[in-house]
Amino acid sequence: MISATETLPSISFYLGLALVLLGSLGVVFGPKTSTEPIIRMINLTVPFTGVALIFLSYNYTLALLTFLSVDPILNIIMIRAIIRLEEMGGP
Amino acid sequence: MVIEFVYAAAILMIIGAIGGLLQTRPIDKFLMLGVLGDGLISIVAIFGYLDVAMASSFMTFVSIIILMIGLIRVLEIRKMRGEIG
Repeated sequence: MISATETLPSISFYLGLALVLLGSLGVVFGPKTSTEPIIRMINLTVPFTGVALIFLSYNYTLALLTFLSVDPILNIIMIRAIIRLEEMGGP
Repeated sequence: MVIEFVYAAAILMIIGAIGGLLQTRPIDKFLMLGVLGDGLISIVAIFGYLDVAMASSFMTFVSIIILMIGLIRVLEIRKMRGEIG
């Protein structure tokens, strides 16, 4: 019997690839993304998680930790830009 | 029959991703992305990196709070301009 712990990096790698593909299609073509930019911003969490899983399959802790720490900073900057565009009445 | 914990985490992540992409109300999207984050924390904990799991849980929490603040602010601006409500 093959245990799941032997195939653990390959499970993580292919699950990450599937999440990146699905999430990027969802960011581009998802429902109501053309009228509300914050829904596009929420959808961007899914390919982010996929890239984190691909990092996890290479067993390098520091890269994964840095990548996970950058995500709230990116969210702060993008949400600030979306709010300023919404105040100015722009697209 | 023994169900391995890895497959449970993978199924949790797939359900969270599909549900988070296809919902249209923002609160439902936040709940589904919570399910996705739980799957990520589970699969990091299976690898044995418990410090990364701790940091990941904290960062998911901070990110969801920032997105909710932005969502409420955008709704307030639209209501102040009279576009909705």
